[in-house]
Amino acid sequence: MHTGLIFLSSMASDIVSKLQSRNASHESILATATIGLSIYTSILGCALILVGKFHLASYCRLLPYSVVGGYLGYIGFFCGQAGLSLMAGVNVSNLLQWYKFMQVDALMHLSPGLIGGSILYWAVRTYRHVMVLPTCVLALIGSFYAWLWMTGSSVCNATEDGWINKTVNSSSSW
Amino acid sequence: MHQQKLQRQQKHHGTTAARHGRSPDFLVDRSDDDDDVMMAETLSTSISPLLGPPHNNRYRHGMITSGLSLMEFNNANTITTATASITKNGFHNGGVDQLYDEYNTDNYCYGAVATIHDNRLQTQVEGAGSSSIEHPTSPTLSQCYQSGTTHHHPQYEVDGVNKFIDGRKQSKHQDDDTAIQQLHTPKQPLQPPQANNPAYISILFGLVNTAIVLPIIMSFGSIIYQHEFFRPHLSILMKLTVISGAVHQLVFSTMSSLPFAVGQVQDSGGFGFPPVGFYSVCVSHHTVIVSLSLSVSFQQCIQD
Repeated sequence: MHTGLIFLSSMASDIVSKLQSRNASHESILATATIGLSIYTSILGCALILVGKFHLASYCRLLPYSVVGGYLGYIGFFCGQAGLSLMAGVNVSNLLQWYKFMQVDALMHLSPGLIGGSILYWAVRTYRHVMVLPTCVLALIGSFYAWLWMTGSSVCNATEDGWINKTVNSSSSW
Repeated sequence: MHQQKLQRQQKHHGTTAARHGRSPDFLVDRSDDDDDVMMAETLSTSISPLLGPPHNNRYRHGMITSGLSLMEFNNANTITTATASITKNGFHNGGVDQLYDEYNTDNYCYGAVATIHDNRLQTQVEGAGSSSIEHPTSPTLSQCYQSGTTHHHPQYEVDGVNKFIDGRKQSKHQDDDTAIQQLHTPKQPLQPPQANNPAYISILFGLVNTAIVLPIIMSFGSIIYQHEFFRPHLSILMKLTVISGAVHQLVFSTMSSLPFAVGQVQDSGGFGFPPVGFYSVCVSHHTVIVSLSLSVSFQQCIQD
């Protein structure tokens, strides 16, 4: 699970870096990255089909627990770091760059997310019901926009302040 | 002779226990007779997989109160048919009723039903040696689980009891091989209970999953395209990711042999469209075409 989260992220970043170093055009980089990721995952799908067809899955048990556990642990670390980076609006790719989270602006953007995550964790652990998680997710989203309404801010202001991702205007209707 | 029998049964118990594991948190009626005790232990070991985690009370409740099953034990030199009871649900039978006890005939041991009480305080045995079924029809396991009721007798398990009763009657008049074959051959294959949820329940589950998965997919998309280069186009890349997740889930749900299969793009390494190629070569080929065409469309959309 979550193989794409790590490998594809790394591949996308590498594709961009290498093509930028070769002065490729913006469109070429974007096309190479998106289509390249599609082809790579297609190869992964074919490989998995072959593994099932030739009954090679049983050899997966030969993987040591340290390898499997270490990989799972890294996935957790990667997801946590990426989530913090996303909230704080800073680019952090390893532990040595975590000092960026200590900046005032980063901490201000991190605090609501950390509080919301803690509430989510507490609610899921406390109330064993299927509706707890979706209710909390919807409540967090509603709380954010309720806070905007109460403070008189708009979505544009929130975007400018870094609470919502800045994106280019798209002509598409979806 | 008796010692040899005990040794064989102990060996058999070890084999069965190793195969099925053992659940310590339930009771099986035991008679004073050593052989019956041994048989009850064997049955308790064999039925323990039906009981589930000992601390999952709801699941355990449903499975224990249903707990009738026809078991087959290999590598045993005793041909034994045993009955038992579930006092809470109207199954009245006490202890273990041993019909066959022969040596060096066939390497099979037929244990049918064991007495199981889901409450240790309700361990009274009624009508030892008799067998009756007061509730031949009952809700399925899924219905039982949804409604929270504890009265659950899956049909295949009742069939197992009927099969045992019929086999016991016929075995008195036929030779052992025939009786064994009839006991061994099920009238209906044992099938796990099928989920039969109403449509509104399925829709509700779908909405719940959507509320959970949608932010997750978008956050995963943000992680995949976390390079500064993608930031101006993150909006449309998010849409691409969400469509990938929808296609992936659609193929998972339609093509997986598991009725509860749930898969998202991150499960297969696919923040493009190809993860749909997981379960079918055909789908995989189509995936490449679909992903390429959609990527071209995406490219045109960017250029516009």
